[in-house]
Amino acid sequence: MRIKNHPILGERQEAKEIEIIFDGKKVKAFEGEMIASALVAAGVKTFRYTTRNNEPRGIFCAIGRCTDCVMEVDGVPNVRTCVTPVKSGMVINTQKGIGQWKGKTS
Amino acid sequence: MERENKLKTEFAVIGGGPAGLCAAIEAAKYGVEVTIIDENLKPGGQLFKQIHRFFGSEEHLAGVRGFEIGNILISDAQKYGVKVLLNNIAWGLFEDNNIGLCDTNKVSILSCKKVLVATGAIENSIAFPGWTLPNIMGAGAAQTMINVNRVLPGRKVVTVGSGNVGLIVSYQLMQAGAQVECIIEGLPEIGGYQVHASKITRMGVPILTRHTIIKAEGEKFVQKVIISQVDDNWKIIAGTEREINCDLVCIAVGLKPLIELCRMAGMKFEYLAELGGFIPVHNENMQTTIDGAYIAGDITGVEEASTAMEEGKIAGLAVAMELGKIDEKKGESELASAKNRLRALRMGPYGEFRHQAKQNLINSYYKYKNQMGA
Amino acid sequence: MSKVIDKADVVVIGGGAVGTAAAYHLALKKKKVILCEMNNIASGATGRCGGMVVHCYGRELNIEKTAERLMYTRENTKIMNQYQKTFDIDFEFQQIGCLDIATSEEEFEGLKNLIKIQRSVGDDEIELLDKQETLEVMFNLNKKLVFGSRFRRSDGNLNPFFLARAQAHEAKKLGAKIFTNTKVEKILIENDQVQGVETRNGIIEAGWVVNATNGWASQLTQDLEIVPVREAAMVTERLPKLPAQPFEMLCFGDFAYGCTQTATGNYNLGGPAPARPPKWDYYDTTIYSDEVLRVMSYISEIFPSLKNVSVIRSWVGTMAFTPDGMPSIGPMPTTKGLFITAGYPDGMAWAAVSGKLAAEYIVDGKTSIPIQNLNPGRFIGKTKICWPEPYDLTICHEYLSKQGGKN
Repeated sequence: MRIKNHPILGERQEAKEIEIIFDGKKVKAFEGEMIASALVAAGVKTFRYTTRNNEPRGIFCAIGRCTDCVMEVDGVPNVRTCVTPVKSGMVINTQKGIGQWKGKTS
Repeated sequence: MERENKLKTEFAVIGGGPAGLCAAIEAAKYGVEVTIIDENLKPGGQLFKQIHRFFGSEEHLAGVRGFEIGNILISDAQKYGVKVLLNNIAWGLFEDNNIGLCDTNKVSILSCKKVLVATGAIENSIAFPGWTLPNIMGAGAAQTMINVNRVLPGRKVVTVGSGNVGLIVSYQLMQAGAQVECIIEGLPEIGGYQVHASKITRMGVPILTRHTIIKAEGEKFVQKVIISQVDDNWKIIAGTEREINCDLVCIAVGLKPLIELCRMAGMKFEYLAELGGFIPVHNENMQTTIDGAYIAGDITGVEEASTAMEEGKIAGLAVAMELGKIDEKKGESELASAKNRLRALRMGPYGEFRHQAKQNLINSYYKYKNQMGA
Repeated sequence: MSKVIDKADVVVIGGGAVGTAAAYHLALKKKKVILCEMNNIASGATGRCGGMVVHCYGRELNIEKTAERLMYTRENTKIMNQYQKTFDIDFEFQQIGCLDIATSEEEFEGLKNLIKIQRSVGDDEIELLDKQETLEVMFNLNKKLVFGSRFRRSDGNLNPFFLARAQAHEAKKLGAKIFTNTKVEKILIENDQVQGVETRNGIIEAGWVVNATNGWASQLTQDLEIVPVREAAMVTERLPKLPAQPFEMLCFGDFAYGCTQTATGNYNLGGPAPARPPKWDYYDTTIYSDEVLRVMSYISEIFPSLKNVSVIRSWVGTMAFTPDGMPSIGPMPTTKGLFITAGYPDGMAWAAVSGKLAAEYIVDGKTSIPIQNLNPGRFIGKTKICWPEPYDLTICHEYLSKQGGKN
């Protein structure tokens, strides 16, 4: 959910709207914002599932230190979404376990 | 075969938050060649999520909001010619203060004469059944989401911890449009400043002291928590369990310094719970037990941006003096002023406590130095 | 004067894979065992190695002793297979084969020669693979750098922490006592007979002492020729199981680089890290930036799939060699009651069997496999300790560049 009017920060400054793809669905995002931010705005809470017990995980520290929020981004798993900015057309998938390594290790 | 980029600078500052920026600016003022390294896309550290007005004196930019201070410092750094390497992770601090860096494309080794490690701190968590559920996050994380990214991760919030972070973030969540159901606190009294506590209670948010969180439940993310009262021995009082529906839990149980690089470099440490955990020992000029390596900011003990800024200035001055860029008399006088301002920030009941802890750290530095025969 | 704090039949010094093996096998034979470890279990070479299990380590280094080595290391594997059936803790032992890769035509000719020698002494398992066959075993190697390999199918890897922990756990179940953070300052000897050990906390009396301290062994037992050697290692993030084998790759001068994927999916990489001036400290566990970069870049030259993978941790460890490259296992000839088991650069292929041999010798007076050739006293009066010479690793760098290793 996006905060449009904020008592201190005021109106949201103009930023270019772009589109990213999350689990096959188109999601609106603002250029320059972090992937996690765009996903939270779209109501996403679960970012990945753990390897051993398949448990859902989301954001914990949001400053790139804890790696709880990692997802598969453009075919590469273990990308920290809280410190990685979006790009138009970026493909983001919920990561299952260690994820799929498309094209990176063949 | 491509190998690494070899870079050089006089003074490397790892971490571009308030401590790092102030150290860089201070050293650069006296002609030191400075490079700041930060893994983010923008320097400023935690300043940019601080939307409240700072306390302190005019010198400490009292009345100015954190993010505004961030902008001022960044522009000062540019003014004094500080180089800033963004999007670079420092993955190693090696002998002779060589720093391993990498961005998304290349590995670099940065050699320098002096280094400042100002990598800040990270939020703690507490483990309870269900603590890993999505939307149970650090209070600072929620703060980043609302103040920097302008997105609200949840609408019905339970905050665990009534220190300043818990109080302030709860208040800011209300400002952003969420409803904070309650703030729970294990101790018998509220941890943070009264002024913050009053603001949040005036908005109708109860602060439940002597309470703990028993578990969190939810299918794919948190949907409710069970809290209860605890007695003087932190034992759960049977029959006081209560369910609270919520979709966001903010954990505000303190921070601990990010000291991995310091461990790698072989610095000596002291465990001080009141400052957040294991802290590298340092002297009054922020010098650690490793020659040429300094620390400043939350890594030296979790405090505030204002103390981080002063510590940064002290480190920057010390480095400029060590490199012979500033006349000794002037240097000593500037250092004395900075140390006075720092002392002033640690007055009052909360401050004295921290000042004493910092003194213990400095005493440990000298104890180690004697042992090492220096 | 220190006081006596405990008594045992045997004190084992060293809590790595070798020491815990000795403790377990002695406890199995109903001996009262106390193990003293100066830090934590597996804090020496065991906890810093890559976990590779290589039955015949090295190239020209005592190649003529292949059959002898296999005698021990095959028994070692048998014992570990037995552990897997009975132990509580699973130490992730997988026998997935290991490639020894030749990165030039000359090297491949060299390997052909080595195989000839190995066959002549009875090794019917080692295989010579040409370039094509090597790439069939592991297709994602850099074709430009692969000229052929030696391959042993029964090689593999394991989790060294879990192996040491598993043996320690089983030893404790059988009544052994394990004292960590207990450094043995001295082995107490009177009239050429072991009396026990002296620790910071006091004396432990025992009729037998097993020195299983590998890189530190000659600090406790003067006449032992054991050379500590520094190695760098690192581990990557977890990756899906790749159809790849552990492999070793030599650069000029017999320096091996190793790479293996663990059961959890992380890759362990390792390579030489010679001690350097001015400290010349062979026990120095600080890692240097050039060591990290060298190991990473060489291994990713031959295994380009790793180029985009993150390394999450890097460190340096101390392993050990004897002057002839075979470990020292046996009673110290000069002292009654002192058993040595040390000198392992390839310890995971020896730990379990060395523990069994130690227990057999101490309890039964004889061993199921003869150990005379591994007599720890064999160097007395014959050689002087030869500390590893500083070697110029830029040779490797130039060599690989010339081989057209650019990807």
